[in-house]
Amino acid sequence: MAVATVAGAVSDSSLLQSLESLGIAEHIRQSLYWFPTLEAVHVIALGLVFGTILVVDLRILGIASTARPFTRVSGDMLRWTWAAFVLAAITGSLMFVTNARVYWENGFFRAKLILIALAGLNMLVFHFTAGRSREWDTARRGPPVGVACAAVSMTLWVLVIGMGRTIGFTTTGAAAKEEPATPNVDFDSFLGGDASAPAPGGAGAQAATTSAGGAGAATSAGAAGVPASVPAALSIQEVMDQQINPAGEFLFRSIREVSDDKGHRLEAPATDAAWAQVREELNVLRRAPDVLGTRGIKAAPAGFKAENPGVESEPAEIQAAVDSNRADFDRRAVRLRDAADNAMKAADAKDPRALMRALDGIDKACESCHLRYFYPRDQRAQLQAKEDHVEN
Amino acid sequence: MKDFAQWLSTTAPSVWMQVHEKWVIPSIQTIHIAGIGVVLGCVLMLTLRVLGVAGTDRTLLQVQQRFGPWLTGALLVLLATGLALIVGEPERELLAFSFWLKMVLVAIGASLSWWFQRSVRRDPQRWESVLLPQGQVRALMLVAVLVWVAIIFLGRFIAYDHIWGTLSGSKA
Repeated sequence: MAVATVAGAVSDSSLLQSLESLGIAEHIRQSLYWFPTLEAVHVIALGLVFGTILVVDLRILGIASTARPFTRVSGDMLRWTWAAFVLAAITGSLMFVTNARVYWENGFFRAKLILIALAGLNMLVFHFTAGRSREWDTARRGPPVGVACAAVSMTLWVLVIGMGRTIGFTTTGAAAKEEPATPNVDFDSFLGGDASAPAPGGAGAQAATTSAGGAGAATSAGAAGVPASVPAALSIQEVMDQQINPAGEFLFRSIREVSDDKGHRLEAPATDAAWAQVREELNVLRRAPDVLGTRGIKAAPAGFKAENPGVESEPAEIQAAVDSNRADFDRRAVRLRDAADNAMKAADAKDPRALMRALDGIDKACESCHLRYFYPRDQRAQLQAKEDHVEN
Repeated sequence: MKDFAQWLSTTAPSVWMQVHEKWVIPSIQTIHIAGIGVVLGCVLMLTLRVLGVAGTDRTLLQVQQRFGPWLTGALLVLLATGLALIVGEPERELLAFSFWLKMVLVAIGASLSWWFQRSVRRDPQRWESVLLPQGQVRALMLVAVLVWVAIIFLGRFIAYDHIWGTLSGSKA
């Protein structure tokens, strides 16, 4: 009960959101290297926690190190266990704040926290029972209560690892992006098509702002095989709506050819800060394979319907198309990343013309995937794509 | 390699794992990470013993006899689960630059472990009296630790292989 109350309070408060807006969280999200590095250090730290605790547990169980007194074994190990645990907690917290609301809604994340708490409790039980007695220090095996604690400890830590690994399969490390401050621009109108296939709006955007409710709704997305109690990761629709589309909109707005009474000219980022913003948005696109490559990603949250039925595919159709062409879908996400990489070179060189050309590549990468998965029935878009030489 | 990876992904065991990937892959990875934990624990204790920081009430041979077989056993578990993960996601693994760099380091790490264990078993006296006090031996142990750390890093970076740019073959 108490746990549920605390969990509810955290979900309702703006605490998680303020964690996500911390400078360090932003910094980790923007970097290509920070998150994977944190993950790797986390694996090393938890490996040491598990490996060192296992040595002590096996000693209590009478399986290994039996010739050494228990206190010697635990004295050698436990300082390393604690040091590694602190390192795991730090790296874990840093990963958590990059996407606090999504992790908090993830059932596996919560299960992991509870299991770690239980492991701590188990340690306390051992400490105040078998751990108090020195009579068995040199015995081959610990007393029954100690043996039980050791077995529970090993089980709990394996489960902690399992939960941790599953979190990675049910969420993404990507940013839960805020809504752009500027009003939504119809992304697809930038794509050479027309209003026949506007970007999906609405529902996903609300999911971002009302975190608990939104992710809760995604929970029941539970298609075949996923238990209803397991909160789903961001769906393709949410990734597009919250991350990819805002980034694309910004980029396509950031540079354009203008013809007006002052003549024909290229409006391009003029300051270092403006170019930095361009690079930041390009980094969002560069993460497309990571966020869209999530195993078991859902097409859209439960209840989401195509905004232009008949033209756009319904979520179930998109789901079927993605699931049966996983490699193709991944390849198109990689194509977007490559196009963004290309544009990044232009942005690094602050070359407006090169950026303009590279944005055309991004445009084509978007359109090619949309034609295949988003609105394959849209004849006009297909014709337009042929004219624009968009490979499908 | 790409052809091989694609062929492997069409074989029955691979298809089965892909169909059940929601639980099969995380489960195998969990065992893999638990194995990494055992390796790290063993490498830590052997290294600390060589450095004279922990386990000094035991001879090096005793420490080797306690942790060596567990280290070897865990490496075999890692080999088995690693092979299973390749079968489950052939292109993710076999086309990744991180994966092949990792394999090179695994070969180095496993060789070092094999050589160290054999050497300690064959001539424990020489280790205790001559080799342990030598700075170079201690440095070599630390290099071995760094190799395992790098292996873990590269294992995680398989998921982010695009950081290698053109070196990565995982671009479709």
